[in-house]
Amino acid sequence: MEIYQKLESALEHNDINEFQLIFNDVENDKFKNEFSWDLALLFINYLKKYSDEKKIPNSEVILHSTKKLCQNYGNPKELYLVFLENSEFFLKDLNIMSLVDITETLLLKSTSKFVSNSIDNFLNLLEKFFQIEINLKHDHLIKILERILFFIRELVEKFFENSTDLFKNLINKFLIDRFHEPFIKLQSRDIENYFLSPDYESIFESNVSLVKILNKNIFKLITDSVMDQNKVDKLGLSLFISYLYFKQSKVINDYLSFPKIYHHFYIYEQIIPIINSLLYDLNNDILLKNGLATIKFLIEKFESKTWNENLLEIGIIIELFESLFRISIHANSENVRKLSNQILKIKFTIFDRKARFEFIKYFYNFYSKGSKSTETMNNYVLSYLFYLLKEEVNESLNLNEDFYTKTSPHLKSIFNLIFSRNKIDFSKESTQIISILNLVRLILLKDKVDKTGIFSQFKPVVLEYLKQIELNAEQSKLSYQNELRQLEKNTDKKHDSSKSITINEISYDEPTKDEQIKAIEYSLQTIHLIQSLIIRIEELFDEFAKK
Amino acid sequence: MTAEQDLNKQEPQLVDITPNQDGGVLKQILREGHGDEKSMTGDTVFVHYTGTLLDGTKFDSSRDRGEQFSFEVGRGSVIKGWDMGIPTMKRGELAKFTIRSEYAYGSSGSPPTIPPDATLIFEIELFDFHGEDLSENKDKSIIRRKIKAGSGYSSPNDGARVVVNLKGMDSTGRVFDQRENVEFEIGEGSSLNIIPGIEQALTKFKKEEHSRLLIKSNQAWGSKANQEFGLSENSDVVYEVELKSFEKAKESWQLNGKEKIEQSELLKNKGTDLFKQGKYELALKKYKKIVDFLQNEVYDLEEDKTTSSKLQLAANLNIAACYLKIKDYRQALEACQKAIELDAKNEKGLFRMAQAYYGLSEFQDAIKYFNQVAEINPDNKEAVHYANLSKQKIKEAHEKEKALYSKMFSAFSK
Repeated sequence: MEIYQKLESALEHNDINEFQLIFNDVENDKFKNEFSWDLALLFINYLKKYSDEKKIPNSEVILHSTKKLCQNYGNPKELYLVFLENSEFFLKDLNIMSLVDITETLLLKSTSKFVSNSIDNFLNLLEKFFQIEINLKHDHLIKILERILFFIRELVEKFFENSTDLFKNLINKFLIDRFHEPFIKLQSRDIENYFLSPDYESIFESNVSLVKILNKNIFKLITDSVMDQNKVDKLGLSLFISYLYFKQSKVINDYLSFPKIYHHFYIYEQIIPIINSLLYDLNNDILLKNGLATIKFLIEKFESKTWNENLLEIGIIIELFESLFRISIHANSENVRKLSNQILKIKFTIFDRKARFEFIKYFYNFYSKGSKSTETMNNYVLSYLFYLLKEEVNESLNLNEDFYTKTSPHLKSIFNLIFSRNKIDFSKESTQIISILNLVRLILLKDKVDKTGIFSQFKPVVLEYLKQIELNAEQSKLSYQNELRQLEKNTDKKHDSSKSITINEISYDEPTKDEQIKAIEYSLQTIHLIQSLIIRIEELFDEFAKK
Repeated sequence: MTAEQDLNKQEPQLVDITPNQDGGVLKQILREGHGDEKSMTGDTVFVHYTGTLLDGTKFDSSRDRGEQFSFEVGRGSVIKGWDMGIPTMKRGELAKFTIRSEYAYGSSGSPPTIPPDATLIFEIELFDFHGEDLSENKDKSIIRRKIKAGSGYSSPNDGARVVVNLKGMDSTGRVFDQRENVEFEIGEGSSLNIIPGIEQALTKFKKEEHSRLLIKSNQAWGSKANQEFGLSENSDVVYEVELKSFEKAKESWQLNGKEKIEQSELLKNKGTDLFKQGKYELALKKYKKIVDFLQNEVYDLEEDKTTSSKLQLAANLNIAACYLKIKDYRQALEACQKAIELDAKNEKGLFRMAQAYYGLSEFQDAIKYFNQVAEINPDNKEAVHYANLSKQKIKEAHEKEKALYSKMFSAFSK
């Protein structure tokens, strides 16, 4: 213990030369072997003593000695426990690299069994570190990730052959969860740069190459991870999958390494629920773009009209449509909204004619009963459905198909839904009304021979609807014109900026007088458009009647 | 090999295995398998394979990966030609399949390795297969083998109304239960002597599916004997079940706000009945559904907002009660925390939280919450009693530590 006391004294007096003299003396090797545990504690306590200061005196020497101790002396398992027990100290930005160095040294000296059974403690520590140090600078995060991945690679290369499933699962989880980290730092950056960012690309690549060593079938890893909810972080898994598909689209060779047996639809069905979770946060452009790009990559494998209506029974297929509707309306970025729209259209056309019809009916039913809090969405979706229906009928008539004819029930069942409503809120549903009128107008123009029954079977119900709309339009027009006159008269009224209005739980300042006038003028233009459409439709009916 | 032997060596016969005999999937047996059994739809099979294009280019091989490939037959997880070919194979068989593109990847191919309209050749060796494990815990307590596959993609969910035909057999093959057109709601079949194993299995059935279920006793009547059916305790059973029709219970996203409240009221009542019968796991499902329905729903009317809050509070409190009964204290704690978020001074919530901490032996926290309960309701004698008990437990733990340390110190000083 004399040697110990000498070392302790040297450290207490910060006499680093004395310390090095004693520690490096080969005569003391036996002591270092037998008392490695105590020495490790001595060094850690020294570092802890000064941990609050900006720079720990002689820290490099002490850390170097610690590593040397771990490398050459003592039982690695015992020393590993010492460092684990004192891990709080190391979980700081400045010290984490040292912990990785030390742990690497110790574990590479150990047996495969010990590593399999103990690695989870260390990985948990690293997870804790990432949670605590959320404000790491970008450069520093990269360095830490690189170092950790290097360490993991060493472990995998040495121990993988004889390791347990536990080892493999723990490392898998850790690697996949790491896809979450850089994302948090890069929140404000553009998606194209996210996966291509040179800083992070090497980390992603390194990460994926490790996953590929551990897992011969990456698709199985993904599906197993989904089955066991505790296995990986959902966001990390989603981003991992997105990265694989992103890379696949950029490289010629087979990056995905999925077995070439899986049916495209099966892969789609398994992956879509995970990717859908990237689409929940409408303010998060990175996640939205990631998710949408992956979905686009997946659905482009399918030819149009190859899916039948049975697939509409699959919950996630419907949920994805809902996500796409939501994004198309409410996402912040215009590019994201456009991409979502594009995917909606592609996905719709993969279904065959019958399935598309059922789709329109189903969503019409669902969204026409929607709650007040989702009014904007309901209106958008309903208008979009009429647009889709218009395209469908147009295509069907062009191809001279029998799908939308007098004798088939399809147009009738949809018209029953659209025109059987008693109450129409004219101002709120104007977009919908325009869509319906456009649909009717298209059918009247395209159907020269009354194949669909629009000029006979459906004429009464359409005319009844037109009457209702015309009445509403006229009433609204008078009301708006009156309001406009009042506004123009009211030059004295000052704009009250303290007043606000709430729409869909979002607060807006009261509009200025000019803004109010403009809004009314737009509304009047809309009414005018609706009235023009009504006139045109009535003309088309008359023209056919005269033939 | 002699010339005669050479002549006698015949090319394996090429067989068209497509249902309409269009030559789209051709099979050659390279080595016969053993036994008579073949895999059925839904079985998990284990194979090795090598896939090549017509020009001999290898595009994939499980042997290169050094790992057998496994998948569920007839689920559409693999290309059509495989789903057709594998069920024709016996264990130990080695066969070669030539699969035309319409039974493989069609006109899109699978870039970059498989071009459009490619015919593929697979050499497949089948090692083993077994029925599908339908149990939630994957403990092989419910194994399905399909007699007749169903149609469509949809399956009954919890709460779905189903109509089934049943035929139950014991280990000797004696038929003890034979019923037709039995109608019930999944989750409430016990009132008609429908075992949990069947209810769980039905959530994976397709319409008109007819399957044989091998059900272990823990998913049947467990340690209780069933006198009506003449079954002793811990009996494993076999049921042939045919799902004639079903109507799904609506999922959360299919209901509007008002409907969710209505359903939640019904679920709360059903949960209470199940709780009273001691069926805590089933009660949990009902209560959790309430939370699932209401937690993200936004209501405009004050009345609806209040009702929703009340229902969520009741649901979380009852979830906690269920977890306490099955001694899952961590989960109970989580549920209590959600309840407290809704109503910080809720006596039941605080009391159950304290109970959870007590169960976890976290006595300091237990005391804290028991005391809070006593403050809110001084008449709650149970809270006072448990607080005192917790203090006692802490004292006992300290005594133990003291004794242990004194032993350690005396050992050191030697």
